[in-house]
Amino acid sequence: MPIKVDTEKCTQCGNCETQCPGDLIRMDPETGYPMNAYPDDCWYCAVCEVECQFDALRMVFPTLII
Amino acid sequence: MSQTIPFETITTDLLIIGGGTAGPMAGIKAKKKNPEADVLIVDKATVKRGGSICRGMDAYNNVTIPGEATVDEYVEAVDIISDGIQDKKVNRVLAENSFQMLKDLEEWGAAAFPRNEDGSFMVQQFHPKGKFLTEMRGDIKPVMAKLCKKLGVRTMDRTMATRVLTDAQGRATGATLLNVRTGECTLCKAKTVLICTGSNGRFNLPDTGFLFGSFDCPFNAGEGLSMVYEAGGELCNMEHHIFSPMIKDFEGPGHSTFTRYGAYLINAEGERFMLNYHEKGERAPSGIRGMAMRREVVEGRGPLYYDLRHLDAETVEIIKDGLFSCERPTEKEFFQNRNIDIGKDLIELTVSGPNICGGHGLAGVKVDETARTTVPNLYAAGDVASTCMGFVGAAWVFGSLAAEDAVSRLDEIQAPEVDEADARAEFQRLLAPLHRDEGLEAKEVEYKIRRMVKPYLASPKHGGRMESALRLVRQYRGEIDQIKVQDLHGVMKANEISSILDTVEMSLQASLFRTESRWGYGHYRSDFPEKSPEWDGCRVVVRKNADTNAMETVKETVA
Ligand SMILES: Cc1cc2nc3c(=O)[nH]c(=O)nc-3n(C[C@H](O)[C@H](O)[C@H](O)COP(=O)(O)OP(=O)(O)OC[C@H]3O[C@@H](n4cnc5c(N)ncnc54)[C@H](O)[C@@H]3O)c2cc1C
Ligand code: SF4
Ligand code: SF4
Repeated sequence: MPIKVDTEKCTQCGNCETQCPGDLIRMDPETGYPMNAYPDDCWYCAVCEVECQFDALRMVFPTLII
Repeated sequence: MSQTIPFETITTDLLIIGGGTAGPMAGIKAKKKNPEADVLIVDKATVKRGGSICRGMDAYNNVTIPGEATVDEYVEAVDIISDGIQDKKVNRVLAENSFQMLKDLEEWGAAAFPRNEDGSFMVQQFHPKGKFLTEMRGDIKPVMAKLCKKLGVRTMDRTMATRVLTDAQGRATGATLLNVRTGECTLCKAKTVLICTGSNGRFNLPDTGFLFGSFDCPFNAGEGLSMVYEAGGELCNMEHHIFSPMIKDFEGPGHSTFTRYGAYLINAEGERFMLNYHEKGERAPSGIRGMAMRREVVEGRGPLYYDLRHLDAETVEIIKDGLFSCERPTEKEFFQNRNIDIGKDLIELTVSGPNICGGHGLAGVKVDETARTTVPNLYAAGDVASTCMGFVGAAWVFGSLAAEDAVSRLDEIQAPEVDEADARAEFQRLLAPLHRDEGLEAKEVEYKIRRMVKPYLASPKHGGRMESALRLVRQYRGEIDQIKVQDLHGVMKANEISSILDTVEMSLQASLFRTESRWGYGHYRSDFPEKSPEWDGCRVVVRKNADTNAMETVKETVA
């Protein structure tokens, strides 16, 4: 998965999508919320979490890491 | 696919490829030196967040602070780590300029360097000799990105450079660029080019079993190394491998922070084993440490651990502050998930490696003391370059020096000439995986290449095994040409995989050529187990033979 979005808090601003250093996040065309389109390529760096000013996103560790 | 791919042509004075750590510093220094110069940074991520620092950083590992350490001491320390295989001129320049970087970063508000009560810097010993490490705090990159903008540095995010182009005289004259979101192709003509792409974070298959679960930034896949090689430049020390203790299953930072505050490495019997292998104990050069840790495990004394239990509460708090804030919330969460309190519980580690990097090791592009490569008008700075354990200091110092040198030479350099057919051919090659009707899965090809590294190329290395691996390299080249991808993200990946294979081949060729053992597991050959005086002071250079186009290796004395 490795991002979890709180849709109550997310303003769909797109910051996480703009800044992920692996270019993994896309705004879901159906829901408008961010999703990790390439979860196998996540470095669990937490830039997405740090970049969210609305405390709406949690980085989730890939299953192999936890 | 035979149809021609359209591309736009742009020009600049200084093209900086990679906007991680070295790149923005270079952009800022270039504009400060010559405000008239046109400076462009391209990054396949973003200048605000891309690169190694995106996972955080808690120390300036190699700064020579007047009164705390000397330039001579720094060069001596690197000599110990590199076993004499360093360019002393380069490291002298690094040491001489490293403190200015600290002052600049502090003045710009990009980083803070905490002081002791008496106003002195919080320096620690991290190298085998001398105190060159000082604590560092702050979210550096957004400040650097803003300053670049303010000074008029142009930036292109999500833009991957794929080839450095050269003219008939072999001078660098620009690069081919692909926007990995829109697919736009650009030919950038540049009077000077500076490569700051980091090294190859995706070299071996990490113990995490996760392709992107590596210590070094996996979004740097060795493209800078390939670009310099293809442009006719030279690389060196590619046989040198890094083995580092890493937190098991995480492969994140910790070692430097733990050990500089006095943590022990212990085996399953509770013994502080490093002292049996090297007088510097935990601070032994990485290859010696790697060899020692492997032996402990092979001889049945594993698993191995970090032990912080003897440290006082205040020290543990400083460690936590560094690791859990600057190094991002991820590390904190990892330990929480596992119910590990780092001051009270043992922390299991793994021996990560072999890895390749100029920042943490010796392997990279051959550069001089102004970061010039052997290709005219082409520079390289940061982890991509071989400065020998240059860490963040090399990225900042040589990013600065390269940029300042480049923009002060602009009047001497004629308008860059590029054969557009070269660019056209490159875009064709690059986008081919998108247009194949069928083909191989990129991830599987990457997996195959990287799973070869540990059994065939890691120490203890052996000539016969490495020859077999070179045969596999040839097979995998063919497989790369069959990769089929669905989107532009896949195009980026296919290009990265090609560079990963280049790095592996360079490392194999250099490892075969160095017929001795050196740096512990950094380069240990079971068929040449001794260090040979014939190789003292000599490095292996890898380059492309201009006539045959084949990869060749030569021995060179390093001053
Ligand atoms: C987790 C971690 C912790 C570290 N902690 C410390 C520390 O505490 N102290 C210390 O001194 N050092 C530390 N280091 C080392 C230090 O971070 C690096 O030496 C330094 O940041 C390297 O800078 P760089 O500019 O060479 O590469 P990077 O900062 O990695 O930047 C490379 C940039 O190039 C871009 N790029 C790559 N390929 C291309 C391409 N083909 N086209 C366009 N762009 C491209 C990438 O997107 C990236 O933004 C750490 C490293 C890591 C990985
Ligand atoms: S953790 Fe890092 S790599 Fe993973 S999705 Fe977030 S920003 Fe991207
Ligand atoms: S940064 Fe936060 S608010 Fe903005 S899109 Fe991402 S999750 Fe939503």
